[in-house]
Amino acid sequence: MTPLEHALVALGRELELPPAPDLVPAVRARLESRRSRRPLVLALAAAGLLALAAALAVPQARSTILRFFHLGGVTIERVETLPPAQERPLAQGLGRLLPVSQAQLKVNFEPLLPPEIHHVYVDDGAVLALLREHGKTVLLTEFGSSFYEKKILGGQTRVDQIRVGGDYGLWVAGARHVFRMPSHAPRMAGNVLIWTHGDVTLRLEGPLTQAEAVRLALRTTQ
Amino acid sequence: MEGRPLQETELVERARRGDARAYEEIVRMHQGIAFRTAYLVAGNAADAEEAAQDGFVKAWRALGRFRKGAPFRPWLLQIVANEARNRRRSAGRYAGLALRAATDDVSGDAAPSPEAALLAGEDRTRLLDAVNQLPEDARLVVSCRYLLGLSEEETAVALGVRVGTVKSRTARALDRLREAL
Repeated sequence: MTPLEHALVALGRELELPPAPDLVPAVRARLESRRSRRPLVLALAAAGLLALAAALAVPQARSTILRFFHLGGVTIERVETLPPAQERPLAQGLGRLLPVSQAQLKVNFEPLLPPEIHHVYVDDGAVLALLREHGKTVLLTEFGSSFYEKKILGGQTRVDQIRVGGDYGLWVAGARHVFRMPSHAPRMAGNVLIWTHGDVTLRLEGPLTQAEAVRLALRTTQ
Repeated sequence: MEGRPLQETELVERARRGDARAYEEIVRMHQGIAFRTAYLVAGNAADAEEAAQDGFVKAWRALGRFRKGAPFRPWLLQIVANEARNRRRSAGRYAGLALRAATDDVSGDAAPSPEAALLAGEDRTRLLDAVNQLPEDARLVVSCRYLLGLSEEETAVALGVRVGTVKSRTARALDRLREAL
């Protein structure tokens, strides 16, 4: 080896590379998800067919809704053209900020939160929390009632069925989509992880990768 | 040193037969080098993590096509490197590495190794700058060979080129670095 090659080897030892994450849990979850995807796909397809039949019964929806399915309290529609929606910051219009102990009294489920969260917002039966993850702002929303929010996607938004630990989830990413909650004007949303844990539907929105979102989700429900 | 390859061969065989637990051991064994390879190709940690994760999932699905008895690590790194390249291309980023030195000075009480002694202060910074300014092909081959410590054969499989190409690219890259320094 020449002195230059020795110097490169030494440089390699002194570079600050990010710490390698533990990939085993995520890979395990994805392999398990692939093994059990068939029943999930069938379940989603069945739910989708029922919902699509209902949607087709409404004449004005016939030409616009391309696909339609539920997960927990979330309904997702695939449409040809997105409806108008506002661009609003994640932190805007979140409701009342309360200590977690008080918030629990105002909703019909037990909120699941990362340990560092001591205050949450309560809005229309949902619990919301703003988190900082990898320097990015992320909005965690949870609700216990069914059919609580709706997501409307165009053709450029991807929906992947994934596993979040032992729970099923959907990863919605790619082009921004329209997000609707009761009592709120529709707004545009970015990458979202939706999953259910027991009777609670959880939703993480923010500029995270799928791997980052799943890690945060696992920390929320563990 | 014979224990590890034998153990890996057995784990790969078990994984080929559908043993997910054996595959988890393989993931644990190679996740560090897989992530570092993906990071050097993709240039950022988030893409690297996804590329490494996707690489392991794709490798699991492709185990049926893995040649029995062949070294597993370069085969895996080729899949991971492809995933990392796809991410970098789809994101439209230039292949500039975000490498930086951990510290300005060699720390610790132990005497620096002969290699480290070659690399004090400004020399290290200049060498790092020179590596970062290499064309992509040259930078990747230097990264795999020297920064990750892969053999020529492993580098060839990971980058999807012939061993001869690795040799010639390495020689050209070293010439460029000498000129830059």
